[in-house]
Amino acid sequence: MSRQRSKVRRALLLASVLPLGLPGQAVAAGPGGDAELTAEAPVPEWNHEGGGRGGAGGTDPRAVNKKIRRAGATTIAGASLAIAGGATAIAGGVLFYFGSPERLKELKQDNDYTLPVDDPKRQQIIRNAHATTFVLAAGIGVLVAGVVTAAVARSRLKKLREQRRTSMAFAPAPLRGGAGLHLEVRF
Amino acid sequence: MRPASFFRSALALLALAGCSLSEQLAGEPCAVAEDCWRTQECAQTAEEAALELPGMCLPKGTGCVRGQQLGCACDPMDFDADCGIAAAKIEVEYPNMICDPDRRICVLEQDEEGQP
Repeated sequence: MSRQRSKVRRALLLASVLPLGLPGQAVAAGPGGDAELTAEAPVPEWNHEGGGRGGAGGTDPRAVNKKIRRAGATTIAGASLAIAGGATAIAGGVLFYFGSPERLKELKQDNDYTLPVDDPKRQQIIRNAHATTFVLAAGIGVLVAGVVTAAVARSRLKKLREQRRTSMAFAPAPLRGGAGLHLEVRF
Repeated sequence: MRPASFFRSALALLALAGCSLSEQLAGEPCAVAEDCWRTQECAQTAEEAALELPGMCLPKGTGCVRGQQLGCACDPMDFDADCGIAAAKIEVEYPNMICDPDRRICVLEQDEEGQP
């Protein structure tokens, strides 16, 4: 939505189709013209409105766009990582249930209040409890890494979008019988 | 949730998950190492294995309970280690023992006829 609005706002200004003289350069004499008069003709200095520097405005919009795409991809990667970490942590939670002390108590009650020795069910509960530690640790670790990555990338993306919103680009446009100045403003 | 409290909760959960069964399994009868928690061993003496008696889950490196397990070292002068009380849970049928004064290990108590 914001991108569409930005496109609408984009204005293309064609500054001039007249022969363009660059600052400090003398205008060349036309055929049959007076070369001396031409040499003496005053060369105007550029006046930049608003005290600007003129020329390309700060950063190249294409470079900014590239950075925005990269930041967007990093945000998505971070979010995916966070989702994967969350899913792993949930799996750890399920394992925690199947390897909980309550399961061991149940087994004890079913066996006259004594844990059966060399019993597959008892060993499975213990194995689940062992795996819980690693799965939970891995899940929470990946979740935190993903959230941090996504948050940092999103913050950077926001800044870059803000920067692009006010960017400006100039480009020379050669035309038949002169030259043009292509001015692109995004705001 | 603030990051610090999140990490505290995660660590508490991990700690809980990491040692949850060690207390439950401590002193429980066992036959193999898989019957116990990873920080424990199945302390079963050769004498117990020969009589098909279960061992018990004890912290790693314990070996056996002194003066309370068949085949384990004992002291006839020490009330707590004279083989009078078995370390095994009351639910486990464990034979009576005495402390052999010569070998200083817990052996099966024998009746007057020399039968265990």
